[in-house]
Amino acid sequence: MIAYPTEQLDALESRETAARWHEKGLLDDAQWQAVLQHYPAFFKTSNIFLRIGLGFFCLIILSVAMFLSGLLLKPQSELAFSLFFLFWAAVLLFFLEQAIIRIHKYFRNGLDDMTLYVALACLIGGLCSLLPGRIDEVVYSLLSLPILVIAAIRYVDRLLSAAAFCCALSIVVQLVEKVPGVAIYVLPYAGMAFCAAVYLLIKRNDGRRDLRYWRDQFGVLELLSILVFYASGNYWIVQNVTAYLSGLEQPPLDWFFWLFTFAVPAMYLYTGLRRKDRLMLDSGIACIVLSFITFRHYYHLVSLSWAATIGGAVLFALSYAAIRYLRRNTRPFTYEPEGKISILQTAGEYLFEQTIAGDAAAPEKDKTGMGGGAFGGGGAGNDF
Amino acid sequence: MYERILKELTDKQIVTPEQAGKIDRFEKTAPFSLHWELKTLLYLGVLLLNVGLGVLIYEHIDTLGHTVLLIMIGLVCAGCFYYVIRYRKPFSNGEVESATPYYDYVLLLGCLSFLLLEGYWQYQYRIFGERYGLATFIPMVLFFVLAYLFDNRGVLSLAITALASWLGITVTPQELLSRNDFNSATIIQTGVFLGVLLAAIVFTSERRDFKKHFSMTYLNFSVHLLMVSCLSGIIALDNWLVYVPLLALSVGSYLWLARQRQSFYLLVVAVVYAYIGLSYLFMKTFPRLILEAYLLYYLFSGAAVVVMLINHKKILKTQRL
Repeated sequence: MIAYPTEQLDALESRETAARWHEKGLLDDAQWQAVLQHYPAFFKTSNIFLRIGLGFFCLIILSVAMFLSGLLLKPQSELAFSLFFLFWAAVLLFFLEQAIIRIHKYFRNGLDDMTLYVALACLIGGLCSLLPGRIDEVVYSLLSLPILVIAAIRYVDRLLSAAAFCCALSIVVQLVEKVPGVAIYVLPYAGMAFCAAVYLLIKRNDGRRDLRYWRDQFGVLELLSILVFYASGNYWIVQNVTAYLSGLEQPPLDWFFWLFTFAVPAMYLYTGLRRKDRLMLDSGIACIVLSFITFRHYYHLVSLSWAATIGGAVLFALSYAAIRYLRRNTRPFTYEPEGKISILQTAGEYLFEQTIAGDAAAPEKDKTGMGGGAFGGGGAGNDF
Repeated sequence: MYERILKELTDKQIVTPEQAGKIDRFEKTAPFSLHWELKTLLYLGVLLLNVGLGVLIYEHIDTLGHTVLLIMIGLVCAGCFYYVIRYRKPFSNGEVESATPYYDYVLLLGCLSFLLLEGYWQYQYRIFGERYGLATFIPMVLFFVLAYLFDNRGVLSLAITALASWLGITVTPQELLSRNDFNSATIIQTGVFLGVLLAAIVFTSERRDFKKHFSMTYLNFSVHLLMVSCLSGIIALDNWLVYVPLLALSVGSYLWLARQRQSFYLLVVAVVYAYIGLSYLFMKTFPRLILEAYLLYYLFSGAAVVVMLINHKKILKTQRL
């Protein structure tokens, strides 16, 4: 079922877990070396930057190759175009399976990811253009969904899982939208029900041993269902969708959606802390911020600058107090970082630092005219 | 899920049963870390507070007395600096761990409010008169001193930005402020100079084993500044004689640095900039080829880069995955 040899996926997981224990000092260096020997890495995975670079250049090669072949073959009719894309999809999938995975044993190194995405785009594009012209959009989604799901399962790919989720959600939304009269009443609940169903399905199968290869994908789906559940009932979104669909200024049951906007993030925070569920907790924090922005969009109690000042001071004070508390009470929560800092977190830290540096400097006019790059903005303290 | 792995390791006699028990206990009772969540909130708080205060000053410049505002910001600033000085740890050439978890953020807030204070002062009272250079020179020096003294990379980024704008301003001070078009050649040369300077700082500090962990902050500014300046020299100034060799030299140096530091980031960044430069040169040198020829160029050059990146182990000489 999986394109990659599963025993090697298992070995990879063992290495990663052992690496964590090694970092925590639970395994000594000799034991770590023994682990590396017992679980040799057949796969060639890449560092994140290398993966981005390889993916980028792979995209260049593939699109140029397709363009060139298009110039040579000159497909004229619509049918010819579809066949052209389907042909490329077949070639790329074969290449992916035989050369990239079987012979070269690449796994999440940039080349396999990008080849897969381009192949699927060709496949779905080719199939969709085979369909007759005036057809309901939902058919396209219905056609794409099985392809995305099968590919997500076979290639254990997180992005594809997310795409499949969005595709399924769009089917639900498009179908409900068609129900005459009640669309605006049902739409938010349909979104919530869909997310709740996905979430419960994942939680029910959490920790099943035979599904262990897809655990990362489950994480992505879980996160999406948490966030979209909130979004389905967020007042700003509901109000805008209602206004778009029916022209009503206020959605029906507006008090419910206001309640939802604040109660759901609070519930996320509570459950996140209670169950030590990081996804839930982080989503709760993000959703609370969004809720305040939503509130501020409708009710201007204070000016934006005061809101930022007060909000900033509250955030600072809250986290200050929380850290202080956690340093005295180390259980069940702690301020100690978990394990070694990952490369993404380091990158995030640099980004943060440079955002602050750029933000602090007064925005001068287009300083260099060279565009891009990491120019953190202009001169400090002469444009206030 | 870890149980399976732990059992396998015990079966293979890599881990002793006692140790397995210890690991099991660790997994079951490890406290839940809120480190990243709280840290992000702190950052967000500092950022919002700074932006909010900045805008507040703009809005209330006429209603509140200037003195009141100055004193308010001054108090925040002084409070922050008092805190960092009071709790500071002894200076070291290496990395110093923060004295308290919020230490870095208090320092950052102090620096940002200093900028506000100074900017406000200059706006209202023109303390520096027309000597705009001084207005960026002072925070630059202060931030460099603070960054090294209190070992803070965020403040170092602030200092580097201040340095860049100070250089920009002293090179063409009036143009910058009266918002004329300024001579881009000067800016590009400054960019190259600053890029080289920052790399040189890294080079000398590493030799003397002085604050080595600042290197990546410097290099990150340096690599983009240098490469973008060289590319603009080629594209905007059309000065190939100077900037093509300069770009080649920069790419070469950064590839070497990537190998030295085993940095995938620098490797990929250098390769991408080199590719942009090379492709531009190709398109400019052969402007009248048929479309297929350009496509073939991209096909083969792209493939060459992929092969090179795949074989990064030979370039970086790394054992890491």
